[in-house]
Amino acid sequence: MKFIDPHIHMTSRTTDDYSRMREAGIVAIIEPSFWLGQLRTNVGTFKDYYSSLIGWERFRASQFGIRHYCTIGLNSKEANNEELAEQVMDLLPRFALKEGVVGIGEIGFDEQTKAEEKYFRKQLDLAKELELPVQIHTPHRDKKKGTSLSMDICLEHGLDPEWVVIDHNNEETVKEVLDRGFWAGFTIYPNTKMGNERMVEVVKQYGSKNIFINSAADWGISDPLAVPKTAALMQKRGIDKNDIEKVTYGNALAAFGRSGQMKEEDWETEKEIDLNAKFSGNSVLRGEQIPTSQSNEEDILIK
Amino acid sequence: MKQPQKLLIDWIAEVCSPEEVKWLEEEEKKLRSQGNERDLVLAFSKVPRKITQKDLNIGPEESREAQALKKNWHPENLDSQQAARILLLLSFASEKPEEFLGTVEKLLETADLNEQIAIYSALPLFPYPEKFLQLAYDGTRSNATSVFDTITLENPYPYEHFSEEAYNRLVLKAAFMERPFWKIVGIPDRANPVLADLLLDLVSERWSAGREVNPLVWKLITPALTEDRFREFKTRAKQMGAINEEAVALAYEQHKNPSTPNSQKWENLHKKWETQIHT
Repeated sequence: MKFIDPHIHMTSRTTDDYSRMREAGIVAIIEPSFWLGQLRTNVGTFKDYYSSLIGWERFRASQFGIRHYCTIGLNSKEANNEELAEQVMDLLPRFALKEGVVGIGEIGFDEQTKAEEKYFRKQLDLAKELELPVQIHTPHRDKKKGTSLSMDICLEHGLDPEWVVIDHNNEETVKEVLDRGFWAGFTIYPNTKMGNERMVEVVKQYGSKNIFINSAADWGISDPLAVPKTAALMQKRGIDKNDIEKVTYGNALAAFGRSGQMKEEDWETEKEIDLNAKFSGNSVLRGEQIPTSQSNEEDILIK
Repeated sequence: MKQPQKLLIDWIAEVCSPEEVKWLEEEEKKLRSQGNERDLVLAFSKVPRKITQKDLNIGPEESREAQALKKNWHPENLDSQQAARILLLLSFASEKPEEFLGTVEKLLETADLNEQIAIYSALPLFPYPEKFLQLAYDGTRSNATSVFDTITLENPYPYEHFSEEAYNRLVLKAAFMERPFWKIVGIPDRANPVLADLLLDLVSERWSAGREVNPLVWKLITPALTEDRFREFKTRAKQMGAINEEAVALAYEQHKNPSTPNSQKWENLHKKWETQIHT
């Protein structure tokens, strides 16, 4: 099977992750702009970060045969520094229409402050103006209310729910999101967000319409193989293959494909990876070693 | 329309639809007559939305035309989107070098991979190209091979503008990264003893690690060969396989008779190497 992980922060991940992801069948990923685990202090670091998403990280992914897309936005935590937020807002249009940018994201609420709301609204207007989908981060705390409020504001700004992905859902939020016609993203993230057994139950209950999953793997303890692993679990627990395909591939493509920047043919017709075109000629793929518990000598050699 | 804009638009028109070409011609005209920086930035970003990505049909005739216009210009690997972006940049290249340099710097600051590639492909065609030396040096520091290759391989810019020191660094990095360094414009004319020493060190280091280097590198090492070095590497080559032994021997032969270029022999060696790494 092939998979899309529509929310993963690869700048925080290693090449081991890339090779395991490709081997597990991940063909395309979307990297939302987010914070770096600590607050940035000036606009230049935002510029370089966005630039790395459309430059170096895209190149790195391509070396593993994975198509890398991204969403561009000012995250909610850093929206609270208004002076900086203003400067970042001026920067966004310079990146939002780049090739392979599939939306404005991840934006939304963290602590649901006034400043967060202000820049959330501004970015929704930008998305509307540029005809781009929106990827919305829902808050960890006071989640249910924050999720409802995010959707209210989207509608107030005249956005079509079919262009908006509400992410990090759980059993408490999913019904309202689906009822209101938005896309419902689920993050399979150990301990803090969804576990995948719970995810199986959600799909059993709600089906596959408008639902898709992601790993949101980042600098925390997270799992870049969350999407393929959950697909395997769904199969084991008797979920229809068609539904699995939608939840782990098709729906994400339909949602973010609206940008016009992400098409199946991007990876289906991808020129064969040129193994000689690798950095230092040491093809990262050729160097791939997956150690097993019964490592034989070949597995523990580093050449 | 001026050359080489004229050539570019002809090539694009061969593979893209009339509507696409029309958009490009209008943008070109606007930039040329009363264009401002914002118009360029927008049009430059919009290319993938307006022009389908197609390989250009650059045959021997087109290559000849390109070379007649700009020596060592190799448009063979351009696609329609890159060509369109080069066209837009050239149309905006104003009479004020500093302003245009500022614009290109700004474009690069937020450029994605394909945009970077287009800018570095356009570099040798810019008026007052020497103004862009620092940008070109920055381009060679890229870790993305696609960007590095654009400025390095089949690009007349380094050959015409880089200092010897910078040119040597470029060749060394290309060999180090196992890029096809023989496609650098000016190879082997610009080979020099300093470069030869650098490359010999590279070979020595790689061989110590039990790794091979493309044997064509020995062609560039020739000026640094001495009797002692020849003997040393002849012995070491035995551990590295027949191709390497041949390369050392051929370099020595050339060192002894610099007037005989041995092109065919180097060519054969290269072919053998290609067969070896692909099997």
